[in-house]
Amino acid sequence: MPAITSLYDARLLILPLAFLCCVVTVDFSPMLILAFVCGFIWDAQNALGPQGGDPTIYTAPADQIRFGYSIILFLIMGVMMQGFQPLFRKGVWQVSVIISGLATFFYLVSEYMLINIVRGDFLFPKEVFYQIWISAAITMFCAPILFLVLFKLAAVFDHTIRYDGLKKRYFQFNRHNTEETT
Amino acid sequence: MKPLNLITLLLFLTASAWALTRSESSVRQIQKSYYSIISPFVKSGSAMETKIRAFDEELEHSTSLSSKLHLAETEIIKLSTEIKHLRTLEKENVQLRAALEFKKRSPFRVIAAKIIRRKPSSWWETAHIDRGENHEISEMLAVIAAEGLVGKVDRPDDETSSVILLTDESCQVSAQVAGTHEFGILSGQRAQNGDNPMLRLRYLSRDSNAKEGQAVITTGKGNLFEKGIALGTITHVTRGPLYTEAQVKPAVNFADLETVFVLKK
Repeated sequence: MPAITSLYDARLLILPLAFLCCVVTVDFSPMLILAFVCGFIWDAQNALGPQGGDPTIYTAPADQIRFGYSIILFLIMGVMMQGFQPLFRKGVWQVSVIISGLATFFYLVSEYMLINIVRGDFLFPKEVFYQIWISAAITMFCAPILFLVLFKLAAVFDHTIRYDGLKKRYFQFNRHNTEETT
Repeated sequence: MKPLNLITLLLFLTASAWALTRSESSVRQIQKSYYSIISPFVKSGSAMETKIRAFDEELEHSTSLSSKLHLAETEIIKLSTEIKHLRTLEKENVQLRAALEFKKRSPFRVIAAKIIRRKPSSWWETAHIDRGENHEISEMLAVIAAEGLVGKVDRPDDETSSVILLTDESCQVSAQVAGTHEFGILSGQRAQNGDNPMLRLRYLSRDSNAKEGQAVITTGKGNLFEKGIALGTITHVTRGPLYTEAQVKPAVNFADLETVFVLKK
C-alpha cells in the first residue's frame, strides 16, 4: 500500500496485519511456519542491495540490516498474539485487535531501532514516532475487517477457528430464556 | 511441549539460521524470484497508487479552493478551476518538453523511464521505475532528471527496477563544491519525512571555505556516477574539529518527480 504523505508517510501494513490476524486463529506450529514465511517475504520485498562503487572512495558505507531479521520479529509478534489467544477463543476479539496494533507498533519501533544500532547516530525524531503510531493505528483499525474475512473463509472451507465465546454466550442466553419461561 | 511443536520449532530455527546466513548474491536471487512472481500485483498496485495520489492532489486542490469560496462568485471559481487545470496541463507540457530537450542535449546515453511507485517500504527512500533488465537496465546505473542526480538503480527486475534515491542515507555520492577543490561524500539523512528532504555533505576539509549558496556536483570518482551532475545547493555549513559538514538542498524536487533518465555506461 502507498505511504500517506500527509500522515508522516504512515501506511497500512498488509502483510503484518494478515500475519497478526491469522496467528491468533491457529496453533503454535502453524504460527511458526507463518512467522518464517511472512518474515522471509517481508525481507525479500524490502532488503536493499550493497552500496557498490570504489571502496577507497566510499570508505564508510551505510550498513544494512541482515536479511532474515524480520523472521525473528514476526516470531515475537506471533508469540505476543498467541498469548492473548485464550481471550480470542472466548470471543473477546477486541483485545486481539488492540494487541495487533501494539504488535505492529513494537515491530516498527524494533525495526527502526535496529537501523539505528546498525548504522550508529541514534536518531528518533517525533515525525518517526508519528509515522510508527499512525501506521500501527491504521493497521489496528483494519484488523476487524480481516477477522471478518477469516471467519467467512473458515465458513466457506468448513474450518473451525474454535470461536467458543460466541457459542457460549449464545447458549447462556438461550438457557437464561428457557429458565425464565419455565 | 508437544512433540509436533518441538519439531516445528527446531525446523523454524534451522530455516531462520539458513535465511540469516544468506550471502548478498543469494539475497539478490531470492528478491529477483520474488519480484518476478509478484510483478503483476506490483503493476496493478502502482496503478492504484497513481489513482490515490491523484485523488489526494485533487483533495488538496479542493481544500484550497474552498477557502476562496467566501470571497468569489461561483462563476469565478469555475473559471479559476479551468485556469488551474490549464496550468497543470501547461506545467506538464513544459516538463515533458524539458525532458525531451534534456534527452536530446544530454552528452550521456540515457533511457527514459517513468516513476510508477514511490517509497514502497517504511524506512528506505526508494522508487520503482517502469524499465528493467529487458530495457538494458543493470545494477548501480545512475538515475538523473533534468535538474540533477536522482539516485541509482538498486535492483533491476525484468520489466521494472527499484531505484534508491539520493535522499536515502545509504545512497552515497562522491561530491565536490563547484568551483573549488573541496571534496566530500553526499548522502541523504535518516528519518526525513515531508516534501523537502535535505542532504548531508560530510568529510569536507576542516578549513573548508564552503559557503551557503554554492552548488554541489558529482566528482566522477568512485565508479558510480559521471562527473559534473548537479546535486544541490549548500544551505548551511557546520565546522567541526576534524572536518566540515554542510546541509545541501537537493537540485531535484523529489515530490514532483515523474520522468527520470537512466545513464547507460
